[in-house]
Amino acid sequence: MTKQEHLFEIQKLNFAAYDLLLYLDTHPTDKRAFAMFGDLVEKLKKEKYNYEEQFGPLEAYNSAAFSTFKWLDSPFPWEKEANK
Amino acid sequence: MFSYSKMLEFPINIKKKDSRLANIVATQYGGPNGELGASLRYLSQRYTMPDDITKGLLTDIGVEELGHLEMVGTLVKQLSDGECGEDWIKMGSWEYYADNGASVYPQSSQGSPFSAASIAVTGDAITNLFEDLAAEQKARAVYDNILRLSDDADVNEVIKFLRQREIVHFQRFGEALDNLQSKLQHKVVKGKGIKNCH
Repeated sequence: MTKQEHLFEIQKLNFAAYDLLLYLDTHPTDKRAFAMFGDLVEKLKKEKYNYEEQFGPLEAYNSAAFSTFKWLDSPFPWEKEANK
Repeated sequence: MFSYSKMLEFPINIKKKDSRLANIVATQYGGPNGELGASLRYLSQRYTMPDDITKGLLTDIGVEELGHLEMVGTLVKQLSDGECGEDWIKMGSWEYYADNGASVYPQSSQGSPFSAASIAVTGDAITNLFEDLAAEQKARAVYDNILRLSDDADVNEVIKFLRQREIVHFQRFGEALDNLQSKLQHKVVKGKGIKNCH
């Protein structure tokens, strides 16, 4: 997978998880939705971990796991190079 | 994208209700030198910054300012929680209560609603950083004013924390400015984020 393909997988999982989060906000006792939410968050965590190992930190504090401070490495999300 | 941590950056536990002080402190929520403007200023400026240090620093400080917005909102809430109309009249802040009740609204202490006119985003990286240095000093000065207006130790402990952060941000912006000016001088970074079309 390219960096962009990997990121798109994360964006899909993140969107699904966030959408379920909003659903759970108004349906907090829906067990099936809560279980789906749990699966998605688990998958998202794994994908994020794999992505970060290869391509650098997605979140500021995760940059502590690297031998150097990679938080400032370009591209930033608003730049074209980050969305190619 | 952004995510939320369900905690304050610094604990807040206000024991004494004071709707007048809530009205005063609210100016740092949505007033001209407040935390909402601070966050929007930095998060908007970063799109055209020419180097990685300023892109990263404006992102990180812009996000911390959202945390400060939440802290100021918490102060306003705890100072005014459940205060009824006559309390606001007694404390001299009926104007705030008339529009907002005992809630949190982004406005200056004098009642002007939040305005982006209080922030500048120029597209010139050096100008932006000077704007940011000035903004941190102005916010620090407002926190000093609030400390002179408040004798509530619980509130002042929080205001002092926020004041300290203004000083740290000023320091970091100064370093970023020195760094960028040196990079421009040595042509490591070309242009201040501006494209000339002729």
